Formats: sequence, structure tokens, C-alpha cells
Amino acid sequence: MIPLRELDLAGVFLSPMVAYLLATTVFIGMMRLILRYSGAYRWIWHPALFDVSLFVIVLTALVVSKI
Amino acid sequence: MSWPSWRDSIFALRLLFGMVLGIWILMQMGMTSSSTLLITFLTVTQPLTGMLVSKGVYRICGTIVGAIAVFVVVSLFAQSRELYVLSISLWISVCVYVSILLRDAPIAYIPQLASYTSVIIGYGIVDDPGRYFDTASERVVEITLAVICTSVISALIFPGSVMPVLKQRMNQLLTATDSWAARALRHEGTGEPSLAERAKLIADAMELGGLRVHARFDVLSLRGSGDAVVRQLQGRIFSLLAILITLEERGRYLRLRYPTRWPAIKPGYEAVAAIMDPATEAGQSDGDAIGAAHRLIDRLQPSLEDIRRDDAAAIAFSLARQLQNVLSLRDECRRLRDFVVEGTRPRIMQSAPSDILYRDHMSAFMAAFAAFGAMVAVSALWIGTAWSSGFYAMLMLSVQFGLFSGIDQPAHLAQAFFRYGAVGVIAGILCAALLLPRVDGIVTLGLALATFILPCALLQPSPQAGKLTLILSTSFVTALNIGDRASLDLPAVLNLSVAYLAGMVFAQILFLVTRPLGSQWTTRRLLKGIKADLARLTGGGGFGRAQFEGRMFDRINGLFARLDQSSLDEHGLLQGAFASLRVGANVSLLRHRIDGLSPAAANAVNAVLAALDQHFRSTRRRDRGGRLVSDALSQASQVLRADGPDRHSIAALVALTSIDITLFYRPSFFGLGPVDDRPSTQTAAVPR
Repeated sequence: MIPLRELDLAGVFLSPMVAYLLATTVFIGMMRLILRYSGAYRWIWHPALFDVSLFVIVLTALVVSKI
Repeated sequence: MSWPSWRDSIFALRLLFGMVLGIWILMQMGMTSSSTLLITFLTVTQPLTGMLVSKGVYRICGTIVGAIAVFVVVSLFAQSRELYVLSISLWISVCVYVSILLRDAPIAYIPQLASYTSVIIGYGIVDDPGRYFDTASERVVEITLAVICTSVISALIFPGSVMPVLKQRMNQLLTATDSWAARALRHEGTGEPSLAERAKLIADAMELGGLRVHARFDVLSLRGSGDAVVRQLQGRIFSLLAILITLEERGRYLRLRYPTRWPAIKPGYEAVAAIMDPATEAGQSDGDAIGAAHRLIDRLQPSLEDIRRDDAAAIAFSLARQLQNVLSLRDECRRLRDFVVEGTRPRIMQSAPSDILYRDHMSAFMAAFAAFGAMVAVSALWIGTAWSSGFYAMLMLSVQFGLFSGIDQPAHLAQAFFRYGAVGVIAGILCAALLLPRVDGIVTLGLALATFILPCALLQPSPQAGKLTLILSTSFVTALNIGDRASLDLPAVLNLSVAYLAGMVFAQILFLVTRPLGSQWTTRRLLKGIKADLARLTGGGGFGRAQFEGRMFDRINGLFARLDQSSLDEHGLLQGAFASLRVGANVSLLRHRIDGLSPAAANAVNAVLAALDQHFRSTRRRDRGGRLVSDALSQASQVLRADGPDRHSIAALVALTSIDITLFYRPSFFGLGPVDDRPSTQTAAVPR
């Protein structure tokens, strides 16, 4: 689980948001792979809009679950 | 210049919306300066999503590479300012070197960015190296934020995919090749018009490579193996063009030099021309017509005995083979185009050359050396005069050396940069003085930006005005230097602007001093490169035919851009470059056939290759009489004629005859002195 505090990277402090963003990117990357190979994108009107919406939903869910 | 279309208006609005959104996010994050963000928006935003994402990704990569380089320099030389400045200048020259080697490839944007990022970060913290992490991370964040914002916006709002453009270019190129081929095979277009059409086809085929790279970032099916299909298509188009050029020129030679032999092969030319002509019904790749043409050409081929006796028969034989190759290559090109459009791939993929651009280390080294000298000179001036805003002059200088070092006459572009940059800066100062004090929120800020950015952005997609409007708008936002501040700091804006313009003047002067050679020098380098490639091919230096053809077309494309076709001498150089393409093709054919020859014939062919190798390697401009090459060629022809008429020796004989004719048809281009009894451009009654 990702803690809600600054990340210490060899003395450089990063916002916890960076970790959420990275985790969401990895998750969305895997989702996209699955969706692409299952052919689901054929049924989606605007794939880019779908991807962005999915990203926002997953990121929000992650952040909200920590607060 | 045409009026902006509705797509251009959408592009402009998207750009402005992205910029305002970016500033808003930046302010939410508590960051003050936003000029890096705005400049990134302006330079990265493109009408097509694939182009935008590729440029954005390369920009982020270049920034990170530059930031890492500065980290190394700061860690090593933070205490010694001289070494610090020297090592950053050296790093910039390395970046210039790499970017010139990569040339027009989109990936060349990485070293370009890395070069001036290191100035922005490295020189910005020269007084206080402890600020490295803040400065570097701020720049990386601003650039990444801008790239993400503009990519998302352009993918969501009226996305412009590269695929339709790629599809359209492929179709256009194939149709244009067909109609040019139909006319060339009927010998309708002669001289300059045909040459100009060839130039256009070659430039379009080269452009396909750039589009392919952008399309990879946009079209899922073009990642991985799909990319190889486009590369293969490009290679096939090059081969097709090379063969068509040979057919046109060699056909004309046969017609004028051996008029009795020409009627025997003419029906083959006409049959292929009829199939390729988009105006005729047969142009719709009719399978039966193609089969009939193949059979007709088979019947036209001279007998093996004839070929052994007669040069003209050897030429006619090679032409008949090439005509058949044209049909199969054309078919293959169309099939590959269909694969790209459908997003699939052929079951069996042949290897495609990955690296078809020529690389000129000497030019790259000279430009890198010039960049190093310029950076050191202006750094010395900056440090010596303790100029407080000197950093902005350095920044401008490094941007110009980073971006323009690859072109022939960078001073001209630097001059244009100064003129348009000055207008942009004045507009920026006026906006900062008159409009910014009235800004009270993100909406009014957007309106203030729109006054200048919107008209520039409308013109940005235009190929003629795009670069100049980009200079206008980037200078504008640099002078504006929007910050989250309550009152306008006009003296600071003025100081910054003067330094910025001074950097442009320095760049122009230093380009004039360090890069005075111009396009003639580049032309000489290109011609030298052609000889070097021929030497590499004859010496057997691991050079595939497809790779050779790609590089030659790249060079010919470069020559076309620089030479004046109406000048007789320069026209001769272009024709010579095409002739080199044919020599190269025949040399690879010889290499391919050598194993099937009898020992005596193989020795004679090896002697020809060695003589050619020695000739092309020789640095002297003129080999005495070309006697060595000529003797080796006639010796080998005799040996091959004496051998039995088997497949390999006939093919080798045909290749030797082609090499012989091509070399001694243009003896001055190949540095061969005139040899008795040989037709050349000077003696034969053959039109250009």
C-alpha cells in the first residue's frame, strides 16, 4: 500500500501524488493492454476520452481511499 | 499563402486553451515562472496527434538527458567556474555533433533539447549550484506538464490522426510513381521536367520515413511489426524508383546508340507503361494484363548466344529483366500499402533496412567545434563583463546553435530569427506593460495571451509561415515572462529582452564567422560520400543493396535541394549521382553472382571489383585515363564471354556491361579520364 506522506528518494522529497500517478499509470497501462487484446476498443466511440476518464476515475479512487 | 482553414482555427484554440490550463495547474502547484511551460506548448503542439506525442516524448527525454549531464558537471566542477563553463560548452558540442549525425530524424530532437537544457539549468545556477535540484525539477515538471496537457487535449478535442495522412501520402506516392513511370517508359518527358518529377518522388519517399516515426506514437497497429511493414514499403519504393530511372536512361541510350536493337524491346516498355498508366483501364492492376506483359517480355529477351556476342543484346536482356522487376515490385508495393492500411502484416517478412540515412561525421565535427568555440567566447564575455542578464544571451545562443547547426547556412536563419524575434519581444513588452496590469484572473490572462498568440497559432500549421510565427510567439512569451506577481517588473522585462536580442545577434555573427562554407561545401561532402559508399560496396564492406539504395536516395535528395538544375554542370552532377546508383546496383549483382562463376571468371570479376575499389578510394580527383578500370572490365568481359552460357556468367556479363557503359558515359563525374572509342556525354549524340 502507498502511504500518504512524502517519498524520500535518496534525500529528494517527492509528493505522494507522484506515487499515485505512477501507480495509476501502471494500472491503466495493464488495463489498456487487456482492452486492446480483447478487442474492446472497437466498441468504444472515443478511445482517448475513455482512457482519460478511466485514468481520472482510478486516480480519484486511489486518492480518496487514502484520505 | 492561403487563409487558415477550420482545422487551423481548432488547432489555435486548442493551443490557447492548453496554455491557459497549463498556467492554471502550475499556479495551483505554487510554481511562479511559466515561460518554459508556454514555450513547450508552442513548440510541441502540432496539428497531428502522433507528431505532437513524438515531439513531446523526445522533448521530455532530451530535458532529462540534459539535466543528468548538468548533474555530472555540477558534481565535478562546481568549485571551478572555468572548468564548469568549459565542460558545459563541451557537452553542448557533443549534443550538436549527435544531432547532426541523426539529421532530420525526429529523434534528433533529443540531443537538441539536451544541449540547451544544460545551458538553462547549468548556467542558471552558476552562482549557486545548490539550487540544482530545484531548477532541474522545475524545468522537467513544466515540460512534462505541458506535454501531458497538450497531448491529452489534442487526443480529446478533434484529434488529428497521422494514419489518414500516411495513407494519403502512400497512395499519392504510388500513383505519382505510376504516372511518372508511364511517361518515362514512353520517353515522353525528357530532361529537366522528368528530373524535377524524380526529385519530387524521392523527396516524398524520404518523407514517408518521418511520418512513419510519428505514426508509431499514434497508431497502435504501427508499433512493432507494423513499423517494419512501412519501412519495407519505403525500401521497395526506392528499389522501384531506382529501376525505373535505369530503364528510362538505359532505354534512351539503347535507342540512340543501337537503333536496330531498340524496336525489339520497345513493345515491353509499352506494355509496362500501359499497365502503370493511371489513365488507362489496364492501370487498375489487372492480373491478366500483368501476366500477358510478363509473357511478352519473356519472348522479347535475346538468346544467351546473342548476349555473349553483343553488348547491345546484353543491355536489352538486362532491360527486359528490369521491366519484369518493375511489375513485381509495383505489385509488392501495393500489397505492403494494403497491409499498412489494414493494420496487418505479411506472413513472411523480409528484412527491411533500419538505417537508411547517410551520416557525415566531418560536417558534424565541424559544426560541433564551431558550437564549442561560440559557447566559450560568449561565456568569457559574460563572465568578463559581469553582465547580470548575460544568462539570457547565453540561452539564446545555445538554442540557436542547438537547433540550427545542422543547416547549410545557419546565419541566414539566425538573421530571420533576430528580425522576427525582435517583433515578438516588442509585442511581449507592450503586452506586459499595457495588458498584464489589467489581468485579474485566469480568463483575463487567457484573453491577454490571445491577442498575440491566437493570430500566430492560426498561421503555425502553414508550411511557409509556420517556423516564423513560432519564432514570433516564443519570443513573445519569453519577453512576457508571466509570473504570479502583483506588480509588473518592467526594468526586469527590458533587461531580459535586451539580453535575449543580444544573444540572437551574437549567434548570427558567430555563425557567419564559424560556418561560412554554405551549401557548396555540403554538396562536395555529399558527392564525396557517394564515392565513399561506392568504394565500400566494391570493397565488400558489409553493405546491403537496400541500405545502399536508401542512402543514395537520401544523398540525391540532399543534392536536389542544393543544386540548380538549370546549370549544366550541376545538372551533370545530379545525373552522375543517379548513375552511381546504377553502378552500385550492378556491383551488388556481381557480388551476388561471383560464387556461381568458374574460377577464372571469378578471378576476373574480383579484379574488376578491386580496380573499382581502388579507383573510388583514391583521393585524387582524376585517375589517369581510367585505364586500370577499363582494362579490368574488358578483360573480365572476355573471360565471361569465353565461358559457357550459364545463368551466372550471363548475369555477371550483363552487370559488367552496365557498369562499363555507366562509368564511361559520365567519365568526368566518376573521375575517369576519357578512354578512346567510348561514347560519353561529351562525344555521344545523346540528349541529357
